[in-house]
Amino acid sequence: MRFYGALRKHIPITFWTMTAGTLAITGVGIAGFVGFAGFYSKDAILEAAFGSGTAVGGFAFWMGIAAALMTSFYSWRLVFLTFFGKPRWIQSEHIQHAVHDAHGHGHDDHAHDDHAHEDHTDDDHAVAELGSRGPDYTQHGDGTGGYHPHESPLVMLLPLLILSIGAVAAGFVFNHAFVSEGTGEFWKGALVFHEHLIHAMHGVPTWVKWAPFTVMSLGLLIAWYGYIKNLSFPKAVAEQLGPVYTFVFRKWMFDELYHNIFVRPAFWLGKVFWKVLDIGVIDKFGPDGAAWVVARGSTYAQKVQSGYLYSYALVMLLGLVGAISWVIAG
Amino acid sequence: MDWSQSLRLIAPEETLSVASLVLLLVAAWGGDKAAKLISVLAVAALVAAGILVAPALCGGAMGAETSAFFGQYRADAFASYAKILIYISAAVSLVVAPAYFDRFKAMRAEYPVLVLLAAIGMGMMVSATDLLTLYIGLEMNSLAAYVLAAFLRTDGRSAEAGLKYFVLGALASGILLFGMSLTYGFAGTTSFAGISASMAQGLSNGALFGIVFVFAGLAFKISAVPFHMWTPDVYEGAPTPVTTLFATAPKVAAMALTMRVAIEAFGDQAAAWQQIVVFAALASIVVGALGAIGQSNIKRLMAYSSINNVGFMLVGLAVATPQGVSAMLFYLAIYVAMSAGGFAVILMMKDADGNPVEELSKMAGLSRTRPGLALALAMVMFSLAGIPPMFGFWGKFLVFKAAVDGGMIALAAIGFAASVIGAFYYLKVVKVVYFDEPADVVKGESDVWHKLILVGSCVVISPLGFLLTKWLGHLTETAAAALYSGL
Amino acid sequence: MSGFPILSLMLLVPLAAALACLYLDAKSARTVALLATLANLALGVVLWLNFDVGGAQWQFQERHELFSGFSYALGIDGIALLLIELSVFLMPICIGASWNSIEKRVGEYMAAFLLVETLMIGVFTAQDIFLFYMFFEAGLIPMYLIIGIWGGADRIYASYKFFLYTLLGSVLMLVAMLWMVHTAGTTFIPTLMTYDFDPQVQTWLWLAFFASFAVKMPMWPVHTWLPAAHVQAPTAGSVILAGVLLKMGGYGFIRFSLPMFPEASAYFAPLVWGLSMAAVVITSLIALVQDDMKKLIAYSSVAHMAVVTIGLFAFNVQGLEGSMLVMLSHGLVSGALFLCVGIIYDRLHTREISRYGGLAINMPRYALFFLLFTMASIGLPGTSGFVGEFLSLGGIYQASSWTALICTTGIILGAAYMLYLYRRVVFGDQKNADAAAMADLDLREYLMVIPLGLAVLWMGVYPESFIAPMRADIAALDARLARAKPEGDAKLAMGKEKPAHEEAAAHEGAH
Repeated sequence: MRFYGALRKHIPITFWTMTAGTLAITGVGIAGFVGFAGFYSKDAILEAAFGSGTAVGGFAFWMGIAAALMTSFYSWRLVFLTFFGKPRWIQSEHIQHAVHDAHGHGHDDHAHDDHAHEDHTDDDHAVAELGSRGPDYTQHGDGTGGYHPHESPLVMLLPLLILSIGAVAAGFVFNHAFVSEGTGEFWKGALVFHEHLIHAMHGVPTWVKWAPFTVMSLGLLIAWYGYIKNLSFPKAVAEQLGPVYTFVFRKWMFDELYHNIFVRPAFWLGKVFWKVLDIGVIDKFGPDGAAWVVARGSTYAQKVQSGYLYSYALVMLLGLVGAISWVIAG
Repeated sequence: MDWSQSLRLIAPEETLSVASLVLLLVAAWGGDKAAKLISVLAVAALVAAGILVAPALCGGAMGAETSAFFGQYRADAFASYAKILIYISAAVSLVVAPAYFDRFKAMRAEYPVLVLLAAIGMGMMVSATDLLTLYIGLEMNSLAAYVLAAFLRTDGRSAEAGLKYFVLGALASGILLFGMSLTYGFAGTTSFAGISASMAQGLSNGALFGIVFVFAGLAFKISAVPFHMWTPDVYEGAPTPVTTLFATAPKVAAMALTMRVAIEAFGDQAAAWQQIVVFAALASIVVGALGAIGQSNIKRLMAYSSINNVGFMLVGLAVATPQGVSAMLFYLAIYVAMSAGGFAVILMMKDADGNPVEELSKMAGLSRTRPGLALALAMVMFSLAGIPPMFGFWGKFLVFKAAVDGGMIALAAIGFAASVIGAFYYLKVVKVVYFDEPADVVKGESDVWHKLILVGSCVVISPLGFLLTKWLGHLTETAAAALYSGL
Repeated sequence: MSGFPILSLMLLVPLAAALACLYLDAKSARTVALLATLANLALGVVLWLNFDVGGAQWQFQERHELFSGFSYALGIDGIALLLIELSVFLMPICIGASWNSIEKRVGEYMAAFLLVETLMIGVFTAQDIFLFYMFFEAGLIPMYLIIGIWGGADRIYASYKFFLYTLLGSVLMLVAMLWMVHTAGTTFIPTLMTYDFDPQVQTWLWLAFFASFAVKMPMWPVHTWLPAAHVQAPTAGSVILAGVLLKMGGYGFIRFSLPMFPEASAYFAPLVWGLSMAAVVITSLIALVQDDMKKLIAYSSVAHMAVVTIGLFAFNVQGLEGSMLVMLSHGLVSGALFLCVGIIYDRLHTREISRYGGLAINMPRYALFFLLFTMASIGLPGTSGFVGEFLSLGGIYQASSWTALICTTGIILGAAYMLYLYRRVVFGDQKNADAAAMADLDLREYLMVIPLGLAVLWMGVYPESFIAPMRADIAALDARLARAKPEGDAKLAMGKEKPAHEEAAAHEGAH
């Protein structure tokens, strides 16, 4: 998102479908009247949580409200960063390469083959320069680097449009059948339908009904302030929060946690099982060990087979003595 | 029991004896130039002898009317079965010989005669029902074998093999003779039936010594651990056709002889020797397998392989049931086919100068240069390892089935598990032949007889061999029944 | 269809083609192999269409007495039918996967593969216990050759390990089979399945069979041959190894261990659970740290097979059906995953995960299929992986909730290592120029992955097609196991419906 910005005009259809989705997911709607799809589901869940009247329900309600606030914030942040503001994509290495490639091809057309080799080295330099000069280096000076994104092909747009229709209208259309009082019939027992809970849902205080909308608006407002109005605000907040920001930025260190708890031990164990158990124990004392014993036995068998008559005769007589002793003892 | 019947019963031995004496004369006058002719005639004599013994086998001859010379000799179905295998093996070793010896200009006229004499000795071994017949047969075979082992006089390895075989064989004979005299001393008779009768009352320590010594002497012949030490050296040193003979016919003879002695003479005292046989069986399986793993010479490897296989056969003996005997006999037949096939491959591997290739490393990548030969070798190896669907599996299957049916489940389990060690070196041969980069040493045309032997034995050990099971199973059961009928 | 020996024909077609391939040059060998496997696939379709669901337990039976209590007896039930279908379905794909990547000794390669097909079908159709053993064991030879000749750098070690490990397992089984035949007096599997062995002896027999099937499956800790074999085997070898050969272990449990030794199975069930739990956790974690794609999928196979074993030893219909479905699904999915690895291996000749990256950019279609199979491996609903794993875990929950708990972590870990693999290979930057230059799927590869993808979705969306043929057989097995069924700790009971008036009263009270 840091490398987007101002895409609204370049990819309008994507922008509008995205907006529809954002409106839905943040739960925009007027309580008791009409709203986007997410509005119905979110409200129903929060009201049910509150309406259950239990402590757990209350906790779930407040957590839900908090989550709704954050959802609204980050969703709008996404929209604002991506579609509003100024283009910033020249800062992306990926775009730099793409632009550069196009540029290089242009050069080739001019320079033909007299300087083909030289031209190549020029290109290498250009990459280095481009990298060192950073975002300032643009021919156009508007942050686009001369690169203009285009709308997705139809194969992508069509699903987007269909989905945005759902995002807009699904809640309105299905709300009555799914969660209204007395419509447990719809589920026909496929889900456990608590009629009394539905009843309680509808009986929650008005502020509860309006709470999701309020926090949604709050989130929207913060996002607008931070990413449209006052661009230095987010940075300041992040600096203010310091380690907390880093901790959250690194996904609560879950990746590190998982890596250390699961991944590394798993790899370590795998290596141990393989090198130590499979090769070091099973193979060593199993097939390879047996082969070793057989090889040693074979060496001894050949040593005994010296080629000298007297040793052959000795073995025969020893065998005879052994057999006699065996028979006598037995 | 009159002389004429006795003489009729030993007709195969008579045929071979007359043939060998006549051929000896031919050799004396005809010289080495007549060697091929003598070979052909010797094979003919073996075929004739085979035809003479066949009726006894097919008819399931057993009991008193098969006994000749007052209980010294028996021409029953059991003996006939073994004899047919012996004659086939001897014929194979005759057929493959010329192509091999020609290379060394050593195809001498005595070779077929010696093989025939060995065959007579082996025939006597399997028919012996008296310790003396046993000993004469065994020595007759052995003396011929000592000479055969050293047949390439100019080759140091061959001479060494002959000498080692002779000295150790003499030691084994001594042990055997000592055991026989002990047995005679305590039983008062040399006939198997008499020994069995006298031991029925129980064993004295001396008689026990006798049994152990006799078994030790026989164990040398079948190269069971710990009397196996001569085998790798002799197999490696002896000329390959002779090794082919050693790996097949004397094994059959000595194994059959051991069975007869164990069952007919000491059968009532099975408990006394069973444990020794179990030990020898497992030790042979393990030592044979371990010894084979490090070998780089394929003939030595085959020697260890034979020790290993003897171990499996002894499992059948350890059970001491007709089923066990029948399984062993079946195993012997498959073993003869596998060995013949294996040695045929070895005979066919020659380098550009026609010298035999015996080093495993030189056989590397054989499958690229000689795919047919490599396939045959792989089949032999998988069959020796007892991997289905090769027919070698059936031999192992039968002996272990006998062991399980006879209640020796632990023996079967340990033996089978030990067979996995053995599988390793058979796989190694397949690996060298199929996986490694070609050494491209094996060249040249193979002798047509070698090819025939190889194809014949490969058909037997291939899954097609299973078609034989009904017929061969019937024969082995008849033979085993004949052995037990003498009790 | 009665009387027509279709099963024998299905054994014969690949066998004949295998022999032919030995004598053909590379090009015609490929064609012959493909045609033979497609013909067998067609036969497989005919087989399925003619399989009478809900009819006799054993169908398409053939029986010829061969010798001494050993017969050529074929026949299938629903369980075998499905595994046969899996085999014939994967085979043409295997041939396709080897079309270009195998350049040396093509004839022998195709012959080995076709032989594997014959032996696989043989294992699933054999009704004579020794015939089963022969097919079971003989499969080692061609696989040994496939790994050893056409495998990767360390192929010799892997091929030995594969062969000797599995051989050691199965020889003990043979001893047990010998004893069973001796005692029961028959080699006919359906008869043996209803023969009640002495529970004391069952313990030993069960252990002997377990030695074989656990290795084949493979269960922890006798699994170490699998990563080695998979990594070194050529792509198609891995596909067939993971797709079908591992299933022989599960099939063995369901055909032998469970119905023949119910008491011993119940006695040892905690052992199986324990090993399965260990397998799920340990091998999943090992899969997580692999740098080699094939090794990763190989280890994941061990984990999935553990889900099969817990389902089998849950002693209820749910678990049994679940484990069958996991087997089928894993056959498709792991085969497909190995194929996906093979597709990029053919291009870059490395299995190192870090050598790839960003394939979604230059190989978007490949990325799509890889994702489908990755999701199926994880067990995403709608794919085949979900149905089986859900049923298996549901089944074991009734028997042992702890086992269910531990094994369910396998799903999570499965998601971890598969997604981690997918991310490293398909997503991210195109770090390597050569990987970035790889071309997307070609027609041949489409023809391989599309059927697999469709099958995965079919089994995921409408598993009834696959459950229906085996329903009666699973029920029969469940009935057979009922007498030994261990008491579960979950003690599931159907809840009572609340009377309507009570609810109304509560409502009134709130007012």
